[in-house]
Amino acid sequence: MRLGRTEKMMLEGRYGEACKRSLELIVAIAESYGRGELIKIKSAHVSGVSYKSIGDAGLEYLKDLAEGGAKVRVKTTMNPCGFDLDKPWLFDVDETFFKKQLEIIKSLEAMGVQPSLTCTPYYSDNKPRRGDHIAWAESSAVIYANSVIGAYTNRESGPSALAAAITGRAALAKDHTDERRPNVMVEVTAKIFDYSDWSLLGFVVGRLVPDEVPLIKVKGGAMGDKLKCLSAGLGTSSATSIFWTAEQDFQEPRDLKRIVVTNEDLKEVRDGWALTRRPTVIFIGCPHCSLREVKEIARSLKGRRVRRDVMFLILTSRSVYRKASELGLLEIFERAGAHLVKDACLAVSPKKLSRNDVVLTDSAKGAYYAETMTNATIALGGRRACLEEALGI
Amino acid sequence: MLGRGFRDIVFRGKGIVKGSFCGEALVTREPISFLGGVDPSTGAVVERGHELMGKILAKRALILPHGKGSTVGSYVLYSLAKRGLAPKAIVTVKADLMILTGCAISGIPLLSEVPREVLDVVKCGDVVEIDAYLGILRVFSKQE
Repeated sequence: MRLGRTEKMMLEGRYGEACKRSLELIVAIAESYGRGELIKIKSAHVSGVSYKSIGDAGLEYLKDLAEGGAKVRVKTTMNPCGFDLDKPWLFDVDETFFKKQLEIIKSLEAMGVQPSLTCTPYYSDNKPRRGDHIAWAESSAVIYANSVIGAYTNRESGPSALAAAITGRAALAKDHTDERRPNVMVEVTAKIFDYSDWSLLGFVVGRLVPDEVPLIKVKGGAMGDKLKCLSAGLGTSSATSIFWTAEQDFQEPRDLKRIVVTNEDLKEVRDGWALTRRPTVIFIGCPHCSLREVKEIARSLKGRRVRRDVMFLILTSRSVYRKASELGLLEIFERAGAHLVKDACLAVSPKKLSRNDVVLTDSAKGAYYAETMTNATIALGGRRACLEEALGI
Repeated sequence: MLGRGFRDIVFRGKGIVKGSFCGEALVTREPISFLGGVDPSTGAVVERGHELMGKILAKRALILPHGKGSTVGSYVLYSLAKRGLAPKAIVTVKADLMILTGCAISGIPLLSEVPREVLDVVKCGDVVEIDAYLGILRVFSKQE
């Protein structure tokens, strides 16, 4: 493999042991998965922040790197953790979880990773530009960055994104080139309106073609927030790193294999997550809500009151939370008895959800992970249905 | 001594994380998400509707098309390996960074780019030998 001067020095250990180990990992990836070359990156985003998902082994892994003097060389943000740092009580956090979660965040911060604690860094903390080469983990953010922003990133894992951040280099693979063209056309005849429909569409497409690059044709198209939901659904059920839409400016390859997604396909999954009892927890914001979404929800909540027997969580990033606060929106949520929450992801939170709990969400990704990572009964509904159930209207 | 009509079948792939293993295979045609799809405390597959639902990964060679879902899966694999609950080797049709880095940081031998046919030929419980130095998957005594 051809290596530059800095890279050779990194491998010799001149930038410290942690940097050496990190570059060794990136080089190994480049040799086996990539094209035997490295590419310099402009930013990184790491996943694997919650103590619930990475456990003691993950914590030790991060501590070792931090204590070995690892420092990120590019702007790097981090995924959500297990609770809102200012409202841990909402997530049934015990002392051990609290302590270990803070240790994880501290280790990452010691390496220079910004405590953005969000799965949507592109809304504010870490905004790549079209054509930028980056190294991101968090499947929904990877797909959004590649497909909606037009950046180039591998579908990095938590540890590989961190190694890329520490070395400033990623493995040059297909996703860093313009070869990432669609190889299957997905004709959507199903009716797609709501955020929830987009997220479910992504989930269904991912199940049908889990390792392809889909060109997804939906009547009417969509904008940013809804494509974010599509990205998240797709990322959950597949290994895909990018999708294309008909609105994008590109040469459509000829003779693409074609599949159709109908109302029936969506209904099948929706029926498996049907709401049969009153929900005890309702959450919106998987992935984290944008400021626009927070404003929309605030409008629906204004002057109303959430039912007493349900916990209504709206998840967002701390930077959007700050903007919402500046706009005076927090009061609306408080008065309505809804919780606008930052820093957290419900599925990787320690929240105690028993078999008697019914969790309603508008996100297929949220439903999938909440189902597999808690004991609760899960239901998927539209955003409007979530709001109506919460408000009892 | 093999009976009549039985023979070993050999597939070639790319050895990605070096190492070898000989033992029982656990095979699925469906991709796996290690976060959510696998219980971190037992190493059992817990995704509803997954064909390996309830199966334990430990002590076996996991053979699957590729990973899916969360990019945190690598840490889950690492954490399973630290407690002896991870597969002893992994074989995939396509490489993905979740499984690749998970294996690399955990020292789990990984053989990738084997033909898709492997998923039909090898059955759960078959005895396989994986040599990720030479890039070979051997299935013992399959009936012809």
